[in-house]
Amino acid sequence: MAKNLKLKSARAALDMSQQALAEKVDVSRQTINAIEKGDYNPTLKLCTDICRALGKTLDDIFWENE
Amino acid sequence: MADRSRERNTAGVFSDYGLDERQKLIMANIGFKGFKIMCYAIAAVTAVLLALYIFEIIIPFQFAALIYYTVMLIGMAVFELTASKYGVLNQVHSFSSTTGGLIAGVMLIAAAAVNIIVRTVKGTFNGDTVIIVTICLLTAVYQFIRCACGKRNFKVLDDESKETEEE
Repeated sequence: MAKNLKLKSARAALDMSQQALAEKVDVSRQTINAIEKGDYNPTLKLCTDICRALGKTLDDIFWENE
Repeated sequence: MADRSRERNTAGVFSDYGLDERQKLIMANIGFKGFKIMCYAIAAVTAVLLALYIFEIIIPFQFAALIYYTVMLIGMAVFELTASKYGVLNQVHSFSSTTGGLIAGVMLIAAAAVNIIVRTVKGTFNGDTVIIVTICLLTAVYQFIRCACGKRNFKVLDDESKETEEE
């Protein structure tokens, strides 16, 4: 699975750490790390929670550019 | 994460307290693999002990093996019943179970009946016969449950397909 660099850059743009994002969406820091590394596919609910926390849309963060 | 107003200091090894969706998924996969390995290990050990028993090699824990075997069959039956309720039982397994389970169950009952009849006629009916017949009957019950679960699995899938077509 490809790395999710969009998530990483969206988080960095807000100067938010993985831990801070994890606490906002009620998951562990390891899970945020796994999503960014492409090691875990989050559920749709977690995807929408992450987008809400970062003020982005699903397309902005989780849509793969072909 | 979780309800911090009710934080606990201890949790069991199988507890999913404080775990998020990814961790629960990994734990569920580990649990499923562990359950499979445990079932196969118990079945293998029981088969070996039963073979020794048939050749009149008595070793400790043979009776305990029967109890473990019964618990294993109950666990597998509960698994098949629950999985078929949601229509997620392996479809290839379901297909083979619908006839294979029925045939195996009938053959096991027949084997148990023949065993009882032959040993009664020969006058050698004893505790050994009871144990072998018990194993046959327990396994037969599981095979019938397996057959029923296979059929139910397909029924659930058919019902879900009909619901989708009607929408």
